[in-house]
Amino acid sequence: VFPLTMAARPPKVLTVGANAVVCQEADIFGHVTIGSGSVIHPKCTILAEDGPIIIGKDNILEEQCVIHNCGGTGAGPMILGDCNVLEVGSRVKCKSMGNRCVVEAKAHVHKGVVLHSDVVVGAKIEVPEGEDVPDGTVLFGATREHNQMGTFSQEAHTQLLARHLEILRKTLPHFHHTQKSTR
Amino acid sequence: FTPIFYDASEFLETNTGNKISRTALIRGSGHIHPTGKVIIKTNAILRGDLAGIKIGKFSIIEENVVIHPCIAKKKKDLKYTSCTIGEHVLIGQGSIVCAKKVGNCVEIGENCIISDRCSIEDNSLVLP
Repeated sequence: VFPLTMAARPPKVLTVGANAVVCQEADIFGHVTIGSGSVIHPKCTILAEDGPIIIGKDNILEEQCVIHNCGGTGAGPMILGDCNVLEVGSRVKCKSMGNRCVVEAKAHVHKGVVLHSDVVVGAKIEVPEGEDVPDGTVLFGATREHNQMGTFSQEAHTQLLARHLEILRKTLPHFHHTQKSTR
Repeated sequence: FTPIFYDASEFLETNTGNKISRTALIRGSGHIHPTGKVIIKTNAILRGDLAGIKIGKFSIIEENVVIHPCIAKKKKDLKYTSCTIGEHVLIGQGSIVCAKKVGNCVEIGENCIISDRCSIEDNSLVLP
């Protein structure tokens, strides 16, 4: 299911921000920085293969997510912004992601893609390589139709997310061991 | 019905006849209630830590399935609500179930995504 070979996994150099909850079962390889307040569920895979990965504040990375920096050797860092939600089973290999994006279940964002803020990638959507997705786009449907989100409220998203994150940050440490920064 | 053969060393069997794979990720087992003769296959993920999960009799949860209770608004506050799965349910490989309720005798195909707060009635078929 996941195209990762055991052989060439880079050593883990992890920096975890304040208040972030990273579960023990999350597989993290390579140079990864996780911002404050983010919640990483178990069985998430963060693979900084070709360059570091910088994950912003208040993100939620759910189970079976794969975040893979595969930009070729010598690639720059892969930056995920704040307040994103990566749902179960999504695979993200993009160059960068803005704030408040939602990548729904089993979506696959290929490498070289630049997602700007407030993008919603629907379930099982494949975003092709190198695409530049502008602010507020919703990708859905078999034909990947784009749709501008006119009346989308950014405050509503961040408020709901903040409450969701509070609940997760309280309940997850009861049931999981958490990972701390290496160093 | 063809009999399903399994590798006995890979599964743990409980008193009530549940067969749970050793590689399944089960968190919050206090909140997970399989009511007998349930089969949970390899690499399934059951997140009981978020909310209760009730699985009815004779259900089969295939490989790589994620059962992730959803978050819902209750009296203007967000709260994780429990996930109830009925009897004789077959959840196909790779599916993601974030539903609130799955009825009895449901067949969920492979690689399906059942999103938050869904309620699937009895005797339904969800195609892959």
